[in-house]
Amino acid sequence: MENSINKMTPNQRPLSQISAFHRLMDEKDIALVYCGEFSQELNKTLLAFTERKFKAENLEDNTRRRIFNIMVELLQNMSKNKVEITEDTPEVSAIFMLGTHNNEFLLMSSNMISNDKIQPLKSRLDQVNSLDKEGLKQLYKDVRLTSSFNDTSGAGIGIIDIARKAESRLEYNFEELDARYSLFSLLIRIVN
Amino acid sequence: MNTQAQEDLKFISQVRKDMNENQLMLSYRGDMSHEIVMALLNLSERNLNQTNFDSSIKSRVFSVMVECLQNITQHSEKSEHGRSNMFMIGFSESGYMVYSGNVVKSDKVEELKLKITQINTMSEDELKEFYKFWIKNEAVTGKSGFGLGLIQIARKTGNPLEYDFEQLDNDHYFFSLRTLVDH
Repeated sequence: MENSINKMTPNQRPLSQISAFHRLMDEKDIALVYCGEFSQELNKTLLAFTERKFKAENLEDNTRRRIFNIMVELLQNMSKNKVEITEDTPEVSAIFMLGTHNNEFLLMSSNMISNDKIQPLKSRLDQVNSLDKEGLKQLYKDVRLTSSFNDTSGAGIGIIDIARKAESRLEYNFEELDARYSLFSLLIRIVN
Repeated sequence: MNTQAQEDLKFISQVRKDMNENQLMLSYRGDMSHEIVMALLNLSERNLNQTNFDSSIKSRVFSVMVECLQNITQHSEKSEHGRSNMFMIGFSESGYMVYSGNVVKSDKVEELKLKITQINTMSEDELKEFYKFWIKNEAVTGKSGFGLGLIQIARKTGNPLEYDFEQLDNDHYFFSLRTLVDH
């Protein structure tokens, strides 16, 4: 037993620090945080988790479907922008968060992207934020007609779809990590 | 961008920092209904399968998770001032970490502390005997002898149970438990 106690201490932080983190999750009404590798399989499980959670809470079908669809696009967007990790990529883990506050749901993602993807992504985000419902519908149609199946710019139809379904401003942030990579955070608020 | 959004975006970095520093991978806070527990186990299992740990560790981690989640569903108190149930998993080079937290009544605290301290001083054989004793006791009295889950966690990990009690109000404490599952 003595040995195992010693084994635990070096890289483990005191429990009180986790409590502080828990308090933060409480304050912000965060239900789930996932931090790490995002694979196709994991995304499926995250989606299944969210579905089961909201079903158990008897959330109405319509809202549940909206959350689900937006989450699909969000996770897909993360995979599209995925950076191959090598020895010289910065060490930053991707993160997904789900929060609920009264009648509002919060989906957040933050992941590393290559700097050359920032510009198209940023203009798309600004564009959707400037449009109303009708404008978004039109844009969706236009982009759908012109974009090809192998469009991998990451700034394509997904963001427009998210904006259409969320019916609220998409908040985002880019934080430069080095000359090649930045951190892209996206926050989506869904009002029931 | 409005200030609320700015604050929320800053919050993402804070969460990432907390997750990384505590070597956490998954963090859940909220109700622990049967449905949620099943969904959490499913998600955690998927997580486990992405790592290179051998299957003996994985199966031990899985049973520890089950015990922790059961502990929460069976013993957590609803408190107005209380913080909500918590379940987290994380990993480091040394192994897996399972963390659980829930609100308990003040009068349970001493008993719990005693049990955990007792468990932490026991050898593997003693734990085995202790477990047998409680299983029999349960069969005779029909009551679920509290501590069975804790004994099982200790047996599966071979590591001490780390705990913390934080007072919430006169009648409630927040009980957190952390265990390391290693080779």
